[in-house]
Amino acid sequence: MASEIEFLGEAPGSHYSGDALLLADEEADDSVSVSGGSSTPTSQLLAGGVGSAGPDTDAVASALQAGDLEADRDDDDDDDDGAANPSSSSQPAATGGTAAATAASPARRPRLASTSLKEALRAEASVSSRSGASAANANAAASSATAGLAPAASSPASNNSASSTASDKPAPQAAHQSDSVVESAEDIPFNWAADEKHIFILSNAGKPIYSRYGSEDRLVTMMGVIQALVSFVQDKNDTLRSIIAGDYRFVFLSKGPIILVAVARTGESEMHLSSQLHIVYNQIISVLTHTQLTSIFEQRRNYDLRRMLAGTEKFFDSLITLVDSDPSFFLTAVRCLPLAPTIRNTIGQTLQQNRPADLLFAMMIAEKQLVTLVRPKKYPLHPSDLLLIFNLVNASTSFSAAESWIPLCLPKFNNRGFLHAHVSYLDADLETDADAPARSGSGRVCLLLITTNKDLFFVLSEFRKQILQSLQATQSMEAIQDALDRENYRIAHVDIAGLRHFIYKSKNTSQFTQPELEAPYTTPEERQRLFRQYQHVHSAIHSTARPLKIYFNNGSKEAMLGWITTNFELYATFGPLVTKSGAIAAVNRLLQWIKHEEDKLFILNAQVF
Amino acid sequence: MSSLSLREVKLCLLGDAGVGKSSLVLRFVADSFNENSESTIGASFMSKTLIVEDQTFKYQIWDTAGQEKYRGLAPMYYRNAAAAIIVYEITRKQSFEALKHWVKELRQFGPSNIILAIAGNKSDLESQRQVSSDEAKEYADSIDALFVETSALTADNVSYLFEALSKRLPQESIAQPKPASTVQLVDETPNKPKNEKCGAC
Repeated sequence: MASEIEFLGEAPGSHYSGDALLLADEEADDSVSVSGGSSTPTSQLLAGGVGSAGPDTDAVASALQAGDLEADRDDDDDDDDGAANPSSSSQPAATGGTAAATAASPARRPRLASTSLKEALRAEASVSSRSGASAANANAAASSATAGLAPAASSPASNNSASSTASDKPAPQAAHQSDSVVESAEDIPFNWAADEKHIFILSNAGKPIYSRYGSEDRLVTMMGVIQALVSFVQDKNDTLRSIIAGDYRFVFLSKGPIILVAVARTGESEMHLSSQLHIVYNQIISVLTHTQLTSIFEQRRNYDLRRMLAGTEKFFDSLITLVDSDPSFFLTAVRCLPLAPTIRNTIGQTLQQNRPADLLFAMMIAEKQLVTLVRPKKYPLHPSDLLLIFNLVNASTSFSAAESWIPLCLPKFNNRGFLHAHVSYLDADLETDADAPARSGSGRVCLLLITTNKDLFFVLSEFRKQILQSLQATQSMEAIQDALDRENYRIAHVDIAGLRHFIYKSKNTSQFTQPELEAPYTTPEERQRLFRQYQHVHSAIHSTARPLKIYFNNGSKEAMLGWITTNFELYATFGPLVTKSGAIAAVNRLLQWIKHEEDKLFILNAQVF
Repeated sequence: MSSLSLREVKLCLLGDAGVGKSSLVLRFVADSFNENSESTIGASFMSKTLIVEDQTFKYQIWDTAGQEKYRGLAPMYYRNAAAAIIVYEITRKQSFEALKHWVKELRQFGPSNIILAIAGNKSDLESQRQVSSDEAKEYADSIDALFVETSALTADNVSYLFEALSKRLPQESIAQPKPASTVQLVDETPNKPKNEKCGAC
């Protein structure tokens, strides 16, 4: 801790970086997101119809600010890792402030050489300056002085792969840096740079709480740096939001007593990374409640929150994995199990009949799809709360072995206290008597009965039995099983030439639908790439600086169309040869198809009591 | 109560995180073992019928989470219990110390007539033993608790633990302690003690 205070105190560079950051933040709503979001749509739209967007815009962007470059990376992550890196290590010097770079970095080198802490510091410091540089051109002197550090920080790391987070890189053979940097890299066997996205959580006091990969214990020094950066900006009554360094984007979220940081070279926008941090924060609240989280740190600022989160790491891991593969999270919408509306109504009735007085929410979830949800009329359930419940069910295998009774806080519903959830699988036989065979434990249909009354377990357990009987009597269980066995619909059912895949979100119901991913999106890499494309379109459309209504980009591998209206958001993927008018005609037909199927795909009438 | 009747026994497992409470229950209830057992969230509930000396016991088992943040919820599970099994692992001294705290808490806040059993789990890891049998036995005797070293992995002594526990249950303690063991009674007359801590909305 002492060292970074010293660092901040002494180093003129970091002071400047602080100023630059402040500027960045003041203008953040325009400039940061401008660089992240709107330049992209422009260049994308220009590129649209011409041909491949990714490489072109990269070329364009390389002449622009580093920040602009970042945004354009969305298009082809794969290529960027290899192709863009040589340039990214040199570009900062070229774009950020060449003269200053050479002037500043030699001066800095001796101080920063030896330990990983210092190296991390340098990475952070240089990083912060760059964000300043891209967002606040006006502050040329300040930013260039510090931007000069960027090459120094990134080059030791970037020769073989991406740049920045220099502290954790294995020593590159071709590093032209001082040897001490290389030595320090060897102190850390875990290769932090191997993963393209990290999420860190720390307390305001700088204590590590969570890291998605590796052990957070190893990050004590870096957590200190993060804490110093955040509090340094806070001291000026401002908020540090994001930093760009080479391929990496650092996004910060300071929430009460804790700080969350995302470090990603995925090309995701600041908006998305920040919303992911909010989701992770809500997961903490879900485990602890806001009240408890606050009071813990009021009593002991230095508290090691890992003690309280012990046993729940799997929920964080699962959540962070899901936000990188499941559109639910950036859409803030859930997917429903396709079911005939009559069957769904019957199931909903079952959950309502003879319900115990204190029952708040009752829902069935099957393989990350909502079967049905019943709730009191006056208490809506926010989709982001529902997604936390999805994650809870998804992350835990232990629920299928028994009836569980868990305290659960739904942050949007009420972040001050716990609800109690009776969780069980309906298709796992829980009645084990002496002669009963061992359970398979492979239930697929999860029932959640949520109440405010912590003494209601046995009542709910009894209610569960009643539900099960009633579901069996109406053959609803079979219907659900059938729907699960039948795989999700295919794009061939939609039968629109050239349309490869789509995501349709109904805004009124916060639900979405999508067909199975098919060729060419069969490998994990291709699926991930398509997912990033969708995120990119979503980001462009929702850019605060320049929101779009329709987005069309004809890339080398596929054409993407995004369309937002008051009622829906539609994201569609076509083959690369489609024309804009062809794509628009196709989505109009798609909308008709969805209209026709909507009572199966969506829960249109919420069942309330 | 006739000895042929079904006797419902509310049982609660307590102990430090990671000592193997859920694994013990899983071994007892389903005779299986899950190597990738996850930490329990909140608590889970299972039941199992066991016949000991012509007497049928229906165990209703609360398997609680050992983590610190769930500690405040524990009274909810032990307050109506006829018996409690407090688990430690023989390979971790600290878990044995934690057990003593649980005993103290039960003595102070638990039902006065609760039957205690102490299970030293992971007895298959003899080479890593940190808590000697003698020490644990001596402690168990001092608090008048049943003591068994078990292994959920090898099933060693697991059914013995429950059988021995069943024999310890006094006749009347099953008929009397809390009518709450019958579900309908809870439903109509919520005669359970008032709320403990734990922030409800």
